[in-house]
Amino acid sequence: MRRLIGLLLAAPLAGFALEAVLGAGRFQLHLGAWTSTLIVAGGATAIAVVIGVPVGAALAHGRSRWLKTLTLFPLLLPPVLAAAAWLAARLPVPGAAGCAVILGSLYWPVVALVFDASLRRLPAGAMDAAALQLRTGRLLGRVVWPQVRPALGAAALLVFLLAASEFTIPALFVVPTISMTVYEELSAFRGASAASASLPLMALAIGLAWTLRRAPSLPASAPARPFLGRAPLAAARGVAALAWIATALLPATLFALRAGSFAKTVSINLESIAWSGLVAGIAATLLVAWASTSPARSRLEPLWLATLVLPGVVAGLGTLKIAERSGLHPFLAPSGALLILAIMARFAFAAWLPLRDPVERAQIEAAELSGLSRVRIWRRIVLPALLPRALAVGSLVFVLSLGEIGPVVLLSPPGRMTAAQHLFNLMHYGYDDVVASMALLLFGAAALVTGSAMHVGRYGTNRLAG
Amino acid sequence: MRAVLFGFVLLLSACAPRPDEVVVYASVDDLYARPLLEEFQRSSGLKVLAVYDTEEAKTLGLVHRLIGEKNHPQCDVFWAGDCVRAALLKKEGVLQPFEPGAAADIPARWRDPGHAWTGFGARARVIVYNTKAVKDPPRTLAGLSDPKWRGRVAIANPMFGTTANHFAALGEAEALRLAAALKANDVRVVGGNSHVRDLVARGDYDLGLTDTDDVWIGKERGDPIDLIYPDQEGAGTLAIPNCAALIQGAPHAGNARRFIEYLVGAAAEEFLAKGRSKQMPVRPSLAGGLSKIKTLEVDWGKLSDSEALLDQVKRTLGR
Repeated sequence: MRRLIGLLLAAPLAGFALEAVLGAGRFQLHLGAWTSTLIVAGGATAIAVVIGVPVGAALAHGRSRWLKTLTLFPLLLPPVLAAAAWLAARLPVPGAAGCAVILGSLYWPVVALVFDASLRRLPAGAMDAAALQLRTGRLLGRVVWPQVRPALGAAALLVFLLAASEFTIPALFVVPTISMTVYEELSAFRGASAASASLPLMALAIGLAWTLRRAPSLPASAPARPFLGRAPLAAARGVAALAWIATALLPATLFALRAGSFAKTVSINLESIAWSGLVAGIAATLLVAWASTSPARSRLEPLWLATLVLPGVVAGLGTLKIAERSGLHPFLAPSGALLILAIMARFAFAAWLPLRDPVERAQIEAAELSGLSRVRIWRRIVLPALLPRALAVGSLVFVLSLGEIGPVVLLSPPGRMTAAQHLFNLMHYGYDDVVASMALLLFGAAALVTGSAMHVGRYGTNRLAG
Repeated sequence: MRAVLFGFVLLLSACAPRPDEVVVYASVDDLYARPLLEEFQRSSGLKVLAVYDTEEAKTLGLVHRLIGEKNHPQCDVFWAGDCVRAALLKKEGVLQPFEPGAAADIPARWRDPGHAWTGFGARARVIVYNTKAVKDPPRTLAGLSDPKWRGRVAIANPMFGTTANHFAALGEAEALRLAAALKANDVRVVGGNSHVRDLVARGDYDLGLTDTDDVWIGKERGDPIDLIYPDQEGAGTLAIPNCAALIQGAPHAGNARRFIEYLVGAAAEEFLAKGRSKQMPVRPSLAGGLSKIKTLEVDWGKLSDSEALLDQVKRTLGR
């Protein structure tokens, strides 16, 4: 059953690829688009690393769950609102480099959170032994760097892929990246060509997933002591404070200042807000339930990651095509099940990765040898280890689903509209009080859910020991 | 896990079609479609279930969805923001002919000869200019390539939306000539028509090509902008009517016909004309309509097959 669901979650990508095969499209390199993509996504990645590493270090040396929640904020900001903020600041229309700055300032939390997590997994024994003989600089170079390098590389590649597949910012400023090419081909009904343009992105995603298959997912049982000295830690915290202010607190404050008719906007849009919450809640619950009961690693991981890093409309189109070809469309479409499936496919990897291998295999084997049933093993050993992470992952998927647009137009049941979709439509008329209110509402809902889950689950609060 | 799946299946079966509904896919902004739909709901007693396109998907969503659902249609009526999409769906066999009685006084050029769609309430493609910076705006599209406007003109991405329609409507020779002239004049290509308006309004550019509704909304909020209907002495301005079309195999076909009769009626045109986007009635009898300007003759069926030309325009503009 679990494998079947896993396959189902890979179906949208398969549907998209199938259309490409049936369309007998020819492969095109789109060299010009890839040049722009390299500038935009490469630049965004560099910015994300420059900001994310010090923030990750500051998080790892602290205890605050709210700072971790705050770190998530930029990821929640719809890219088009970030673009609106750029224009509102009367900055010149950006080219590829400007798009890189905007996307880098949205995606740095990926690097920060992954770096934070990898610092928490540093082996305490090795760190203590090295600290006796080495200064901080050498400790960082010889012990810390080799340990965190794979995770940092994976985070950087993930940011690269997310920036390369982001559509709204390059489209708004007409920087012809590969995601724009995919959209242009889709809008010209050249599905095969769109799929072929996506192939390098898929290949990169599969490579990343392959790398991540080897990454450990268990936190260190004995966390390392804080290793940054006072000055470097102060510098890291300074950068972190700037990043939090500029990309999280400032946008939230600007929305709050403009959102004069907040209560009125919420009451008018209650239906779309409730629908968004329902769709995101169901998608998050189902994904967490599925990932929690599938502890082993899977060969399908690369496909789930590819679905995550391709433009959202791909998951929507793939789901639509598969449902039509299988004859299931009339039964599933009216309820919103197809929309939920597409959103689940989009974020399957985000739910899966943190929840796989929740406890060491040896622990399970010991329990089995002592005669515990599978149900008891799951309830007494796996569940306690899983619960904090499941809550955190559930809230993350909920938040991501809340802001998802790509599959919504293709799969929403008639008469239903999500809050994020409504927000985008309102923005066609410019940035005004209603847009600010809706953005603030999405921000607030996301912060509330994420913060609560982190508090309840006590996830990621193991400050480096000391 | 099984309990969760059971709940999911229950959810799937929760929604069944009802006879007092009409499902409308609208590729127009929900801000001005919604009031009209609500008015129809009030007057007819039918429940309108709408699905709106988004700017984020560059309005390609609903056409893809309708083609995808062709064998199992969920939609009854497609309300298109332009006739190109309707013409494309006609080619794909998604539409069924319907000649609404309420459209008898709509000129034939705004209706499909095979009755697959009916046009109503139009926008026009206009030159928007900054009233503080420009005292003598150009009166033709060719005027945008005058060297005195070098680096001062913005247009939207020619691969999407009404800008794509506009280049396609000009015909191959004229479209490529205009694209080359604009490129030579250092035109700025931006993401969308509202973006063009905003850049002109804040003075980053003096002139742009956009739609009437974008200009009216900008003027309403106090932007220092105004518009020119280009080529009134020549071929005419491109007018882009909304279109209503009945879907082949519509689940609520009777309700769909009622809704189309309402949508293409004179009252709905007047309603749209009074709205924020000031859509121009296609009926000659209604004030403020298309009859007050000279409009470009367009074969909408041909326009729906312009991908190759648009690729050329894109390359000519150096994208």
